[in-house]
Amino acid sequence: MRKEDRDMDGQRKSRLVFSLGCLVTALALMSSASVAQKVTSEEPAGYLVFPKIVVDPSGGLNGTPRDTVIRITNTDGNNPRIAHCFYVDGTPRCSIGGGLDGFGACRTNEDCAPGGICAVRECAVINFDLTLTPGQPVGWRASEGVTTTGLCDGTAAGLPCSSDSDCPGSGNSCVQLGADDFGRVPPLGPGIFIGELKCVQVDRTTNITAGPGTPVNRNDLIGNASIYAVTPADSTVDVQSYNAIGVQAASEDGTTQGDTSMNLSDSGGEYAGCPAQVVVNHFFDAADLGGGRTVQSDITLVPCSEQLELNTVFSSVLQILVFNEFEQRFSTSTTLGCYRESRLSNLDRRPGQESTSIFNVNVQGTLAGQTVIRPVLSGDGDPGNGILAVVEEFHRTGNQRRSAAFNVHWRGSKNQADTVSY
Amino acid sequence: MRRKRSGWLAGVGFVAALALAAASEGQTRSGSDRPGSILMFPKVVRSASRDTIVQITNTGNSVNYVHCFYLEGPQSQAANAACQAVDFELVLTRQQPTQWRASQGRRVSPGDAFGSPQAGYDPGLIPPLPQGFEGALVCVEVNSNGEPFGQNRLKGEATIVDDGTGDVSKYNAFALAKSGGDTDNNLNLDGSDYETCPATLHLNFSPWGSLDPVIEDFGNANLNSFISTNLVLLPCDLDFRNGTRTNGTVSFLVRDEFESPFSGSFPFRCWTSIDLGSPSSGLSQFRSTLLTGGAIGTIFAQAQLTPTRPLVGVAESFHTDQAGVTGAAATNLHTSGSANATVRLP
Repeated sequence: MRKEDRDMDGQRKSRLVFSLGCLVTALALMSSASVAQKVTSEEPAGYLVFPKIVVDPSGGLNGTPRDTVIRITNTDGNNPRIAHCFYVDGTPRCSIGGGLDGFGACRTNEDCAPGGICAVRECAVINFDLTLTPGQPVGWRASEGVTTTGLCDGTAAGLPCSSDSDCPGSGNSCVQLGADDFGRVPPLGPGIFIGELKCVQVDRTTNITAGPGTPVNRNDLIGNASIYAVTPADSTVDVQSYNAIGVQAASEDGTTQGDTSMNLSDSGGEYAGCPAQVVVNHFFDAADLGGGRTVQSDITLVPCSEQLELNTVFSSVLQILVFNEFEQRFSTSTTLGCYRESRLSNLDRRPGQESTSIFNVNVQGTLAGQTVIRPVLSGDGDPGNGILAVVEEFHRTGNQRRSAAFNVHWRGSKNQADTVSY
Repeated sequence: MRRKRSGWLAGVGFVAALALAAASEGQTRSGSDRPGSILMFPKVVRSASRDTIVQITNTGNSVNYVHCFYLEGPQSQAANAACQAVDFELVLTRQQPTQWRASQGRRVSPGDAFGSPQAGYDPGLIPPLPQGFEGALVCVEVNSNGEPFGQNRLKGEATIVDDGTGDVSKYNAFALAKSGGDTDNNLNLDGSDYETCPATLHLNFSPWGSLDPVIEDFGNANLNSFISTNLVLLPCDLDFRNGTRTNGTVSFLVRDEFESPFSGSFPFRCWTSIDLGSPSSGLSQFRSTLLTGGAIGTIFAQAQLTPTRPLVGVAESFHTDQAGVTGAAATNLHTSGSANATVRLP
């Protein structure tokens, strides 16, 4: 073979190899795009996060008893599914005596004994399992959990019970759930609980001694939380609802993952990566919305990376940009440990200084604002610094205080993975 | 040598183009938690006591022109009743949030006082809605000539307030992202022009008339609390050019905690509001066994809604004690699957 022919042959081969490489790369990209999963507040997912669960049966926080109703549904109508869940306690507590409920829960240092500091120190975890039949919706009050085995019928239909004597009203009986019993859920309380609920779709719980189930590559769970403030004393019925944040598994082939460490990343992770930014439309605190209605907003922030049951607290720095209706930009920063619930005006100002906050209408001059929150990446990937959030609006009209919750918007993708392990 | 380099460049360009296309596809799925190019607010109400505060934000760093349509629900139950549309335009500067009360709209009045309801850059003249309005708001990103121009920078929320009781509920607008394609007035929600709409809607709900466990414990109830749910549905097929109605049927499958399935269907029109399980709805599959003809004996239930043409929707639950004091909460519906639709602009 002549040298020119050999060169030509080599060029053809290299072109062929390169073309095949292009094709494979392109197909891989198209394939990855077609199955790209995301953090979502409206699609079924394999990992659910309820950032805010509140239980305050005695009304210690603001005078009105509060409770949360949690709903979780298996959207797979053909197969049972199992979820391994964690309550994460983010209740601020006094460093020394005092508090609002006999267990040290507090809002500010003033709720504590003199010299005491009110803060979230560690986020203790309680776990439990749910076994959901095909298409089964379940729900419970966070303060009561699920410690019963049936549901009442008659005029008390749907209320939890274990025997007929648990059912209020006359002639009502307790219908046992039997095969539809989805498991026991620990009650939160009797004191104040502020924290989050996380549920992972896992493979099994039949052999409890073998440890918790391992995450599976499925996206079948949806959930909602409704936070109530109810008292007959001043005729208050206030209900706010939000959708659980779903983190979708990257694969939906039903296989069991290798371990109980979940990698959240858009680049080859087991789950979708947490977003780069959280975007919130809100009214500035103390804004007058007309009709004698003023408003303030609270944001609850939780980390994407967590070592559940090890009580390890990572700290992240959050950069915050605020825009008003004049296109004017302000910025501030704050920190997040294992849980942060704050009035917007207290992200940059201490309690009592809210009127000078950049989240206050007295500073901004317009009713509506946009806030962009970006976690500062630590660089070493441990922790990943991702955040999730939910926002509540509290409206005051005269003596009436009503509220609404809503899910935030997400934007962008981080180049640093988050890890959740248990 | 030149051929070799051009082959490399062509190959790299091919891969880069596919990578961009793939990335675009991966990032632009529709939903209520990401900015988009078309915003759909399924539920906007203005009655004697209830009003809606609309919030829209330009999340981008350049000016954004927006063409909006109020779509009023049909005024009668007649099958051929139409939905009347009224349009207006907004101009949002970079990162600008804006808001208005539906009952008041928004004037162009640069001299508004600091902290007053209309303070800020005026986005444009927004017409007020008359009392009795029930319908939707749809907004589309356009360029300065009014032609569709997707930048995927819009996000929105609707706050429904009751000025009589002080109550409030809130939901996010459903956003559809521009994914490529042309710039004509037919917005194809097919994945190539704009992202698709969901094929199936999932609703976690309590059946009509069921007891509220928290009100029963904390409130004024004595087994007389009452939960009801209002569902509003807006078709993704919207023809603002011809005013053509979109009709169809929603098939549903309801399950309670005992896993008992109940199925059925109901019609939808250009805008549909249903009190699920109420006597007027005729849908006893959404009704508690506490009431005559009710089917569901548990407080927690889910419904899977599959329409013949794609829909978006919002659910608002009402929780009432025995004295009639009510708290409302709105939520965005869960979604799955994808289905094609078309929005036609004038």
